[in-house]
Amino acid sequence: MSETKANENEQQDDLLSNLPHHALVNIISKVEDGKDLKSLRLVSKRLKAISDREMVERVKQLTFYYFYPIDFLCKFYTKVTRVSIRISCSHYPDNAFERIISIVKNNLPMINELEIDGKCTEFVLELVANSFPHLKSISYTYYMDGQYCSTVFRK
Amino acid sequence: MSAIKFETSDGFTIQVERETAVVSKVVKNFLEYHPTDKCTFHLNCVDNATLRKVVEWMRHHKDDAYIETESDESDEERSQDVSIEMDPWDANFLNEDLFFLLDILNAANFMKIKVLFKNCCKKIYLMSKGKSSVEIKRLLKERCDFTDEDLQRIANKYEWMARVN
Repeated sequence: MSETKANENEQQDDLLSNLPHHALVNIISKVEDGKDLKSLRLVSKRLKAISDREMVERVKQLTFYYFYPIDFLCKFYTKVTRVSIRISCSHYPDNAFERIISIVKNNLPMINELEIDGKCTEFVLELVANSFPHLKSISYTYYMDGQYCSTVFRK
Repeated sequence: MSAIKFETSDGFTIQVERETAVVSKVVKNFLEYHPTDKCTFHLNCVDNATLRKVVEWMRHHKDDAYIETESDESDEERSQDVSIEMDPWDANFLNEDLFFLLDILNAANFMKIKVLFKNCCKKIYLMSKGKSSVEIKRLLKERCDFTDEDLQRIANKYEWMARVN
């Protein structure tokens, strides 16, 4: 039965034009791989519009290095819940961490998880706690005496 | 036992037992406000073959607890539901060609059968997973309304977006 239907429909083109918009959004929301999303964006204008929106609005967990365009990324992605900051590199300026925190605080004050890769002082933890009132967890990892140590604070 | 009649777009009438028919939110909502034993639903965009397939799904799932409790979801809930796991019976049931699958999806959307709708979306996604844009165009018979220059520009400009997860 379905074979007959397939033959009838083979003449039609643009199969998606009859699909409701939320069906396409639902299908694209399943795409996990960035490569697959990129393929969908090159199919047609309609799929590109939905895929682009999906990329921007998907709940994100961002990792920042000092040299990243952090300000741009913070503004671009609208739903960021978790941020990881990598500051353990020795050639970063002394105020690298404060600068990153300041940008993230201005753009993403609602994040609820923060991970810091680098040694944290009490001053840093206090700065973080005051900057992000919605934080549920702060964790930091550092290298000491030949091994990695990790500390997690949860609300 | 009371029954509900469905009239399809190609002129067929199918009688379905009430407890199966109420798997459709459209039917359920209507019967809540208009209690009656005699009722015919005209499905202008669902043909006979598709409705029979949908009714088979409704019969199989009519006793499932989640059918009773499902609600209309917001955009946010929908975007968070990224799971592609599916009941094995459903996965096998939806092993159909894309044309028929789209008909089932449209019927599920029209009749407000959320789980079937979602599963059709998952199945269509799995069909396109890992394919290149050219293969997806061929699969969906989607008209590419980009020029070659557009395609090159998009591929270059948003390359980084595809890499940020």
